[in-house]
Amino acid sequence: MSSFLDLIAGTVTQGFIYALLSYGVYITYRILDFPDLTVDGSFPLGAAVTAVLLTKGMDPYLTLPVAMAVGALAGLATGFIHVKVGVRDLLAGIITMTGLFSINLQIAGSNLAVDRATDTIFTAKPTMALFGSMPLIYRKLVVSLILAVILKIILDVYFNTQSGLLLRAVGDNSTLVTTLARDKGSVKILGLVISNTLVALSGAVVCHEQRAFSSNMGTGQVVFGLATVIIGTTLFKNIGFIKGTTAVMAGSILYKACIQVAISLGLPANLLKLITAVLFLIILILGKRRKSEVNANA
Amino acid sequence: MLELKNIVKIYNPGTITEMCIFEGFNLTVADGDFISIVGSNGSGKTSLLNIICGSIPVEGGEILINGENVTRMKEFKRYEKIGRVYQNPAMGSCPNLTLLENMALADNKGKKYGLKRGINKARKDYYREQLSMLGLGLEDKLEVKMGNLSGGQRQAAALVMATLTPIDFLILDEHTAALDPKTAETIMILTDRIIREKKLTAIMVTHNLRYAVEYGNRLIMMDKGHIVLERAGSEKEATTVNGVLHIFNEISIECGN
Repeated sequence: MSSFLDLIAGTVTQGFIYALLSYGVYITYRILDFPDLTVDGSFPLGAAVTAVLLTKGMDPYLTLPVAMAVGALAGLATGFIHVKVGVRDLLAGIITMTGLFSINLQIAGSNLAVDRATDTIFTAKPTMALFGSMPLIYRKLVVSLILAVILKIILDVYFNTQSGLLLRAVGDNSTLVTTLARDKGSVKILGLVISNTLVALSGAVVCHEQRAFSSNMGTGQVVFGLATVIIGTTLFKNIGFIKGTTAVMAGSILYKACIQVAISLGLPANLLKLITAVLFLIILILGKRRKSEVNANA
Repeated sequence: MLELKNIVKIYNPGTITEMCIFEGFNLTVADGDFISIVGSNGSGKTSLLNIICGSIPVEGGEILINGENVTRMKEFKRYEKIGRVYQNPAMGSCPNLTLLENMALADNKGKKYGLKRGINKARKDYYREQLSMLGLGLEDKLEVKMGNLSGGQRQAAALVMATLTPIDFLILDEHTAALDPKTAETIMILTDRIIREKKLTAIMVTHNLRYAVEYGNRLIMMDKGHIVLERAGSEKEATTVNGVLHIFNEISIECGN
């Protein structure tokens, strides 16, 4: 029984940590209407930087803002390539993602494990002072819950600021942003920066949790993010008071739970990406039906 | 004051589909003018508006706003002094934002979009007051998503949004063309009232000859990138729809339409 509870705790923890990535994809895909593939590169980038910094003995909490800053740079790169150079959105993301693969290898090598003796945000003194009485697995759950909720609140507040309104406007009707005498390109870049900051943070926390970076950990993260955004927003579309961020957080937990169930039922790990792809296709079909409904109402 | 001097506009320059729409086009718009522009499709009306706003580049000539050369100024920069309402009511607002959020965005035009609250509650009454002038009941729909309003309501709101902050020019790009006749009439009356009340300088492209004759102090008819008819002041007041229609038909016959 306790192992079953542990399994649930572990799955929900994954859901919270990856919810940070989902927030990022929510910003690009839902708000900016920009399919950003940078994610597959900025997610492991956050992990790579974190693995190296932890190994070098940096304060575990400080690794998070550093990872976020490099993630921001990745978003800036994609934004620059798209807006200033004029490369199509998908291609701009692919270019950054491809470049980041090598950059990540340069930063951390193909694999980098963080020593057991090294403290992470889940074992560092301040965390232990607050939640030291809990077993590690529940401590992870609580810390990732706190992170996911704090960032959700920050984003919800931001979306209602002047800057946040303008960000939502640019995906909704970029012509209006121009007539408001604002450069829509700059607003898009800002959105990509915020998005990839969150994605890299997610990668960083995953690195803390797994104590490892591997160069292929980014593969499929865009699809994961898109799937959680579409699951979340489709499931909760009729419940008006539920915010988009809450919906994608729930989407992330649900998705991780589905994968966990599949593995528990004996699905070979090698088939995981195939299942992910099929699952994503199904979600897209459901989402498409939703979109045509929306268009019919417009 | 807005001046267009020797404007040259060529579409697809250097290709077989090259088309010269303006060759040394001139127009001066004085402060307080309300100009209606009519003309058949392809006469260059919308190109003219796009050139003024910087939506398309020009191959030659100068655009001056209050004496300042804005020919190379980016489109979004030019909108600091220009408000624009499009033919498509969906262009003037964000469908997934509420009317209140749309108003708040428009209200902040010309200022920084920073980390302050997007909606200033103290301004709500002002928005209500501005919207109630329309007489469409929009003041009670502040929390409604823009996409759920009708085309006429959206266009009326777009008109208010475009003129909420001080602007030098209001550009109306066939802004009643997509509306049913009754709504179009309402929007046109509202437009005229807003232009008078806010003492705006306006340029309106329209296919409705009656609007062109009834509203504004100047009337311009364009054909193939040229001004073929211009009436202003008392001469404009004496102009009738039939008179304009007659000239319009003559041009069309010459073109073989």
